Amino acid sequence: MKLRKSIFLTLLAGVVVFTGTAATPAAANSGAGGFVRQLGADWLAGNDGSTLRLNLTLGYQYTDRFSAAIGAGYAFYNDPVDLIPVYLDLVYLLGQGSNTAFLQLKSGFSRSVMRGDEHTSVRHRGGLFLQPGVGIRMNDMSITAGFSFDHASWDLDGFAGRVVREKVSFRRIQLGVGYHF
Amino acid sequence: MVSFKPALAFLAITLLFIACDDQRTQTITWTEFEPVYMSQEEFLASVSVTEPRDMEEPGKIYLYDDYLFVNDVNQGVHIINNSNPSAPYFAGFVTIPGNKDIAVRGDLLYADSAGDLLVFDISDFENPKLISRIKDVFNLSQTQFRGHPFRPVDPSRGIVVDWMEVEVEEVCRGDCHQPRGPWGWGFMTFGRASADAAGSTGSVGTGGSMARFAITGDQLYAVDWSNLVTFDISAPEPVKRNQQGVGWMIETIFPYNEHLFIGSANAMYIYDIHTNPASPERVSVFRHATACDPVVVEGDYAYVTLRDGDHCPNITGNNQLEVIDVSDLFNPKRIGIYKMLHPHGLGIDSGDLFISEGDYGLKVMDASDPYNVKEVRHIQDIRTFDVIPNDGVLIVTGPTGIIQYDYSDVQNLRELSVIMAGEEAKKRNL
Repeated sequence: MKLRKSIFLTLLAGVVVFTGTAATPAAANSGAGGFVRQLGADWLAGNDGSTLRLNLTLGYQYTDRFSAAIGAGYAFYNDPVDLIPVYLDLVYLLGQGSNTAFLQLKSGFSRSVMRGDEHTSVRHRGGLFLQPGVGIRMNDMSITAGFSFDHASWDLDGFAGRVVREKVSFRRIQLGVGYHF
Repeated sequence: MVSFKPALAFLAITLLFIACDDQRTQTITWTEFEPVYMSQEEFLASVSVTEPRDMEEPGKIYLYDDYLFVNDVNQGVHIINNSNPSAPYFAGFVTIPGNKDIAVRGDLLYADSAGDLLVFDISDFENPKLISRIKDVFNLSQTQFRGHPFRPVDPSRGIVVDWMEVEVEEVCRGDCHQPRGPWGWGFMTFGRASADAAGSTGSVGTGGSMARFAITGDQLYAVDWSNLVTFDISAPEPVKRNQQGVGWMIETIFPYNEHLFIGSANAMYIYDIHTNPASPERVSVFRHATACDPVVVEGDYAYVTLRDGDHCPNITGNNQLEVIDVSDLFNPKRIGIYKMLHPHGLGIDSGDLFISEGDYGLKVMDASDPYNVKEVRHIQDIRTFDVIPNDGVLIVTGPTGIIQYDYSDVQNLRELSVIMAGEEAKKRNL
């Protein structure tokens, strides 16, 4: 488990370093033709609990209003799995200038990881990840709100050949902040 | 120009229609056993001697003179002429519904049939005759499959002679709780009685290490889920002399010298059968980890195998051989623990310790020094269940049949014969 987390953090650091040394990015809302990079944190709240997800995206501003990026994150569900979503992040700005609202759609798939060793006989899988939302960009910062769907499933082997298969859709309100760099 | 309205509208609509409850679907699949009934009339009439037939599910074995008696679980007893271990052959079959345990003394074969004890005259080995039936002497309240859920017994539908395996699936929104139905723990069959018992009047057979029947002298000792039952078998008609609670999940019984060694899920019990054979007295209890645990004894040392698994208590990782010094029967002491793969029955002869490792084969151990038991050989390409080492011939049972080896040289076991069972036997006959 520690190995998986280390790999993930290494990849995350790699992406940060890569994007930090890539071609000069377009400043936020400065028009088409530049990189967009964002480091963000989401609070995922629901009736069954709340948790944190960290994100990193790297993309390109194709037009004045539209950008597409790929991203990855780590959601600390611990129920009993955490999820690592890898997704496509589409953003459509609703206005011009450094302060504007935008529509956002993140969609992709999550990979599951198991923390701790309390579950020794578990097979687990991630699943579809979807997050529509809206946000407001203010210079290098943005705040977002949306709805997050995360799917996961796992099998637990019980006594006497009993198998418990659980499928879960984490349906959470998402509130996030992002830093563009 | 900042345009917030469409974004806020989108957010409002989204939140309006979407709930924030995680959606969970839990599907639990498990194997459950349901009883197979037989009417009282049919049950009593179904005991019969028939032509030899293939073994389906070999259970306990019992060696007596030149004959092997092999329990076919819940079906009856195969009689195999084993005068030449290199060429055994089926001599007959006794249909006994609900049979799991057997023992032989003199010309009498003792067999259970559901809750009854039957006695057969086997003076003509190949034509046994039922001479006695004692009804309702065994507690069947827990004779379901250990570790598996089972459906409740409805006595109005007759006598339970078998259990049928069914797959069950339960789908729940949210969390399911435990599957419905009681959880049962029951007989695991396959057993051992011993010819080494002190006080034996001589013509007592030899069984495997997982027996629930044992004969010493004029007593037949039988264990069920929780009781030790004593029968006086000095006459052809057995008389129940005593029944006493021992513990829970009693599994095996092994008579040695003047004592009974009884294996249960979490302990080995030692009973004195010398002072009052009809009413054994407990000498001591040796506690061990919760697991299935047949036991054999040689000299001052008892050898207990512990295993986990589907049919055993829900403790994982307890797969080991424990060596216990029983020179002081009031104070048994563990002197060694050896890791095993999935040990089942075991047998010992003059320091040669044979351990069936289930699907992992057979291990031959050198226990000449009980403080330093060493593995001599591991035969991996067979499935084993129980063993009887007897005068140079090792009889190994398993789900695929019975294999006999010459173990006069344990370094070089020589296969003498194979009696196939189950699907292997059917394939052979195609």
